[in-house]
Amino acid sequence: MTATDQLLTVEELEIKFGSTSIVDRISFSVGKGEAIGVVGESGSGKSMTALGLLGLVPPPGRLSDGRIEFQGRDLRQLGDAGLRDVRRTEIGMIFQDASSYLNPIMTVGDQIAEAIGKRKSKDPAVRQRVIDVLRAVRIADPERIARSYPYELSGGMQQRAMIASVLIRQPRLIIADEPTTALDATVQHQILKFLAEMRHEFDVALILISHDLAVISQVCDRVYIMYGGQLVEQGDTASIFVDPKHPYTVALIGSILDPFDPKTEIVALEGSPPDMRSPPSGCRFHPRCPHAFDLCRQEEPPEFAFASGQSAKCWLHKEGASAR
Amino acid sequence: MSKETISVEGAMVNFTTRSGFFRKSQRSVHAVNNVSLALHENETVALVGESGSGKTTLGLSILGLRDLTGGTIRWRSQELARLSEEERRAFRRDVQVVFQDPYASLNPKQTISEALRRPLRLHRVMPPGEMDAYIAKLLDKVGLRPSHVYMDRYPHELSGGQRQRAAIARAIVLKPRILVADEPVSALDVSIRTQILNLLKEMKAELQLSMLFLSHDLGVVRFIADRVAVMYLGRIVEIGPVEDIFTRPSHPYTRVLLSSAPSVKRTEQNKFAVEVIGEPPNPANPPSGCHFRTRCPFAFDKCTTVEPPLLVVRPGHEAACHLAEPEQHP
Amino acid sequence: MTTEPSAEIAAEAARLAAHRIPWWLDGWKRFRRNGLSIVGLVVTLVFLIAGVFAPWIAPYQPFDLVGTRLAGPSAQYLFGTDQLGRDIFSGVVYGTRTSLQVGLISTVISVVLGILVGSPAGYFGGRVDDLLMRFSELFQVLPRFFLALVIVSLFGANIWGTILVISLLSWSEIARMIRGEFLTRRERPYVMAAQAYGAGNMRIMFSEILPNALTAVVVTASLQIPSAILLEASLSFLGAGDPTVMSWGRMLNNAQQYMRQAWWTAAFPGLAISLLAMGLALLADGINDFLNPRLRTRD
Repeated sequence: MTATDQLLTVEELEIKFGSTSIVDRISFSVGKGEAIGVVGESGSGKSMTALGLLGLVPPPGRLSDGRIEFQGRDLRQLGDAGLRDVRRTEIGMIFQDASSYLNPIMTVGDQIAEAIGKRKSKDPAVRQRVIDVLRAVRIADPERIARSYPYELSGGMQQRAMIASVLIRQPRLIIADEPTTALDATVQHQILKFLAEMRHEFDVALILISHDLAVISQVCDRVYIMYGGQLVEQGDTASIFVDPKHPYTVALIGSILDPFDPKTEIVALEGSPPDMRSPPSGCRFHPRCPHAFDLCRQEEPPEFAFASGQSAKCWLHKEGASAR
Repeated sequence: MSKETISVEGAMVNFTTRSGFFRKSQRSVHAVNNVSLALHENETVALVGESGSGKTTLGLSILGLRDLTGGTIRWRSQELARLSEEERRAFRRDVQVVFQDPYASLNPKQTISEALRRPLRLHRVMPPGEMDAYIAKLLDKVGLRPSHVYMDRYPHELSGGQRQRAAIARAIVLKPRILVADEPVSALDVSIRTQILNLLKEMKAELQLSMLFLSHDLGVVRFIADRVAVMYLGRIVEIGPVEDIFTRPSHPYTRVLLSSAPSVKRTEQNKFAVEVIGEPPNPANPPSGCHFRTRCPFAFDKCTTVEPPLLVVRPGHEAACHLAEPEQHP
Repeated sequence: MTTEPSAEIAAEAARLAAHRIPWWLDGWKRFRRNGLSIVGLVVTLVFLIAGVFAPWIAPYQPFDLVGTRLAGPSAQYLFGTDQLGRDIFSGVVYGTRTSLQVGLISTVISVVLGILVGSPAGYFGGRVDDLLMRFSELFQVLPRFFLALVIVSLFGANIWGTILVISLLSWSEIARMIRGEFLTRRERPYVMAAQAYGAGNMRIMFSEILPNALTAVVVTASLQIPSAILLEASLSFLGAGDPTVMSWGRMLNNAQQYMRQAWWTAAFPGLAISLLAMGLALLADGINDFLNPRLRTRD
């Protein structure tokens, strides 16, 4: 894909809290109708990245550097009003706990109508649109749900309602931050299936953020792995699983306890994620890396690209791969 | 056959809520509905189920923190409800718990060593002078090393994984023989999760624990459990050895759970592909007969009228489904 | 898991050790951050010193007739004299004692009563809760001055009567607050874990939960003190206070008739009440900061 095909291009994004970099110069892109996954644990900066794209970084944090190009426009040049417009019509965001984002004193139908600025509208055309979008997110009895209040709905339904309120605006891109983590397995499965199919039905691209690689593998075409605020590996899903290039990715894949892949032992990754106030020198992963050597402690590795389209930030690939 | 440590027989836990203007109408939720289960020494039994399955309520009942409305729980062959005061004290040393939320499992106002010292003091296990040394060794064992650094720390100074290690230390400080672990790793990062699971496995082997492991994560269950009991709306719908449950599941709900679990081994998973219909029913008003029938693709008329009992599929493996058939041996 | 700690773990431990300062120093730093809390502390300390060292600070005995009546503020009588010729400055200084005594003692009693009633109400819930809360509500609806007058007529106008009245009127709010704190915490995992290892209800209420509720208690108590002081002033103002001790409320009562011609008779006692109440309120805020480390959460 050439640069012009890309819906969203992010370059060298940096988000800081005071003097601490929470997100340290990451670059990625999303093509039209593509689904990409961002994987990382707590402290990796993945959620902050999503907020940064939409100008929603909570103070005292701030977006200190980088370029965010969405459909040809630089989002950083837009003021608050401009970003609000973008959030309203072009980029939608879905969060983890739907019940916190739904207004408990409004019916679901009203809230979805509010998303297009027509709350409590008596206009039958508007009501029909609400019903249609509820049906589109696979809710069986949309009329009843539209009349219901959020507390009357199960967690899965609430999440679907939230997705509906985003979809009704017909965005080009949806960012979903751990949308299914709080839900039961069966419901999670249904919502993920829907997200995977949604792209084609609605011609919308998806950025799925999760700590669960298995979830990402179910939905996404390409994966970005974040660690310590940096992008340590990226590539298409299949390649990442078959041939991971970064030791952290290897560890993540190794920690997956798959119900269909019995293991009697797992080798656990020692230590814990880095403190962003004083990150390790050189490669941020070196204190926990089983293959670390001197260079890793001294210098931060560049991204090395591979023929498969993957790239990884790891000194192990110094020979035999071209540095970006 | 190793010794039974806990025996649950026909346990029932009902919650009644009164609603309506004059609080006249009563609704009964059978959180735990006629459950029978046995735990043995050096065995991990996983209780699998989604929210509303009743697994947490059952776990709390086994801990003696929730009273049963019906049925009995036996510990060392004695009924929990009939323990003398002395026996109760012994029970409280023998059965411990690890909870899901590492941030709420430890008292924020107590240092780690204080949290571990209190159970020791309460049960007068050893002279006070020896407690610190014992606690230090225990902290080392659970990976909070060097222990003298962690002794005086408060929970808020520790990470999630470290707090969970401390919670595990507190759970085993009295050397219990039975441990109830309620989703102990669900709230932890993936890389920390494996550390804690390894720790639990180690402790179980060392103390020959009976572990009741509550989880909704099938991958974790397969790794840690010896036997698995699947619960739905308060009932056990399938129970058997872990390998059997994962390779030859019998109950449709178990197959649904398996096919919904996030997995990378798609081809393996597709063998169990069962699509579930619709949303979970209202626990206060469950379907007649088999509770699962409204979402089961295989339901037929008998399912509406007769509640299926647990039928033996093969030795040690039972499923509550009218379609379950005992395996024929040639 | 039986090997030596790796370099990574040792580094983590060293980092934990390095950031260590005693909790009170940590709290003091937080307290200091808010300028208003410092103001509150200073003001409160000034009054405290005035109260403790009253005999050394006040030039005269508060009830002694020492000067011309209704004399304005001067070098000899810093705050002027009242309608009987008593030194108002000395009156204010000695009045500080009364206010602080009443404020502190009644608050202590209210807090103790509040804990005794609120803890079981919140912890046990159900019938116990209903019973205890209905009981406490009785005290919430008592008309204050009516109660004061009843007590006065029964026991005579006495400082202890005032303290009793104020305690009775204030404890139920504290009980309600403590009940709330216990309600929030009784289902917490650490409480259930304590129940699991055999801790009895008493132990759990007072040894596990109460220390966590204490912050809220201290803050509420620090706000009670100015309330109590204001209440005492009102009671004295109405003539229901102890006639043998000098109190700001009594001074205001006396000043009613003479305010127009002698503003100092009302201004200084009134100012004292306002300042002490405000100082205590600001201090309460600072105490809250002192006791509560702000917990950092991860990503």
